Amino acid sequence: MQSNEESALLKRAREYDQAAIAEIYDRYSLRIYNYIYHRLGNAPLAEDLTATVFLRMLEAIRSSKAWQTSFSGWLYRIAHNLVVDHFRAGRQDDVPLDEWPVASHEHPADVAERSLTQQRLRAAISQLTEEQSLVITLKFLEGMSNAEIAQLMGKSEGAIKSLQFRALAALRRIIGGEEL
Amino acid sequence: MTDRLEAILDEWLNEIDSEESLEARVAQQPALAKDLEPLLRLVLQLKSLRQEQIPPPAALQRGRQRLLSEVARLKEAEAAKKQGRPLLVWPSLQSLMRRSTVTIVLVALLLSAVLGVGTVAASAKSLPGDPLYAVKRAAEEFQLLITFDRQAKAQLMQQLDERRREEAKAIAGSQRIAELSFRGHVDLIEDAHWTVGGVVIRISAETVLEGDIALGTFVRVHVRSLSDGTLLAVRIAAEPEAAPTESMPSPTPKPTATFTSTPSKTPIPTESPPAQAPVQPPPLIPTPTSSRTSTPKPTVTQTATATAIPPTAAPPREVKVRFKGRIEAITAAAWTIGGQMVKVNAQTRIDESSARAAVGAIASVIATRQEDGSLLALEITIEQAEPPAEQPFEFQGLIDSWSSTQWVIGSYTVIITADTRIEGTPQKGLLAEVKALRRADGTLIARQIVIQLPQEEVQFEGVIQSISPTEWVVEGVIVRIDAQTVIEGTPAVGQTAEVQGLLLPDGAVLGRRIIVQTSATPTPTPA
Repeated sequence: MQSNEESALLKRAREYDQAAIAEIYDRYSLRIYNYIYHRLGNAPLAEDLTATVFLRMLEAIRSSKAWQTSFSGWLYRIAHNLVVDHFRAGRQDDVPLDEWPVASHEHPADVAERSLTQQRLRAAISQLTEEQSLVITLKFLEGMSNAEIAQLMGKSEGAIKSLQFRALAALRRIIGGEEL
Repeated sequence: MTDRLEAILDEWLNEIDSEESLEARVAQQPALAKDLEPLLRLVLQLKSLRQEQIPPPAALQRGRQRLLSEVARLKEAEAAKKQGRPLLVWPSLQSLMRRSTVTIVLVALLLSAVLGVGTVAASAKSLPGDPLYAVKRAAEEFQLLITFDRQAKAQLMQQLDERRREEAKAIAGSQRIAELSFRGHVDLIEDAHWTVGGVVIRISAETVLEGDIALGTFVRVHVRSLSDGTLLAVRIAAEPEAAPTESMPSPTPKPTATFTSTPSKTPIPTESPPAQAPVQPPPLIPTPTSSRTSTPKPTVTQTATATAIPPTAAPPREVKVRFKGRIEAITAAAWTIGGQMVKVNAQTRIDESSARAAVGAIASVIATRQEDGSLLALEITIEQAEPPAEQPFEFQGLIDSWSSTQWVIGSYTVIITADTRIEGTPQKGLLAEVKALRRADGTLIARQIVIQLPQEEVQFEGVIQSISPTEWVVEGVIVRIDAQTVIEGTPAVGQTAEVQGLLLPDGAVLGRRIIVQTSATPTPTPA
């Protein structure tokens, strides 16, 4: 569901109106950046892929493959696909040890273990289906409510509850039951 | 069964934020533990990813520029497609004509016989992007090639330069998408807008500047017109004024008296102001371009046009320069205008009849160059008052201080007005995203401030080392207190407190709940 204001904005964007596209970028780029960062844990890469998301948006904004119900959901899907492509290409380089955020009270070994666990978890999320991956990221990494996710994905809240259950079960299977 | 599990899982998800809460919940419902406990442990792991602090993006602005450049390119491609515009054959014609006089004859035949005289005439009013524009340019190039008299060639080149500038204005006026280039003098430099040969262009971070460019420098500008009428500069390159168009060698020596391109960024020399004894320019070649210029008053370009032609011009004794720009600083001894410092003395005439002299105002200057290279102003005319124009400015930063009238965020101070929208509660150290308007004097008027609450929760216990209304130190950690902080017990220095809060970007903790533990032997609180 889109507001009239957003519908008008998207209509202008389809005409390649620069001001409209700039507004869309300002409105969504930080959210998309946060999403990609949570998925990859790498800020420069997240910045680069965020730019790519919006270039892809521009390429497809007039296409019939563009969004049907939720524009922001469509942007998240583009971001998801880029993240998956990144993992499939095997480019998920480990963050160098000296770039890990280390709190002063943490032992470096604990930090290293935590980071490895997080990387494995991120890789596992990327093996889920698009919808499962989105719901896991939006719910647990972005902290969105079921209602917000439902609106973004164009589904009912009940469907989101089912989806998150299946997504968690699938993620558990991918990890293979081993302790993270 | 699955529906029930889904519902219970969803309910528990919101309640479980630690290992302890998970175990407590599972203990209450042991029948469901086998199915749900592994999933809930997984949720705890996922939430740990969320607690990771996200580095602020540094390059989102570059991504925005990249996107908007792509939009401009797509629009142009679309416009070309709609017009059925052929690919430009101009470069190939141009290179063809360079080859030999035999080719020149062939091209002449091509233009007049194949295209026909009527076609060439019809192309005269065409603009970049029009199907006949390539014909127009080829005809011009041919005209240059068959003009052998040096002065006539120089005059023709100036006419063509003027024509390119008029085309640029026409393209901007018609809000068409096109790429074009023209030459002229830089006669105004402002933050994002320059005026070159009377044509206003917009400068972006991606504009390539080549050479030593200052007010008065003769440059070639490559621009891309946008649908809003803006001419976005892609490349600006300093170029010798006497040089012909891109395909031609320079036939005219640079007149030393009237034109300096020294590294000292000399503005364009010009005639003396009316109040002074005029420096007589050399005999002028009539320049029909002057009458075609839409600018009512004499421009730097026109002056340079008039003085640059004769190859034998004698250097005047006193070189006078004229330039225009925004006043950046005013002191008793010197002003800075458009990046150029100019000295003032008791003889300097300041004309404030149109507007008051102030930083931010636009002024035109007539000055003389001193032996030491500095400029001494003869006359400064304030042409336009400090513009009310405000530029949008966005940034992120940590909140340092705030009041009802102004906030300090990062290295910026922003003014708060009744129209400022503030989302969230300010607290020192919190990250704030600011949308503001930058006034000409540099002040920032906040339009919107969005305060980002950190997501990483922390909990620790320690001895209270100091207490103030806004900040405590507990076990060496600064704990900030605000209206939302719940304090249980009576705090005193030396007592132990359990702190639950949010980790701020500057390393302090925003206290959400502080439980002061009762001590059997309380330490006296210092005054």
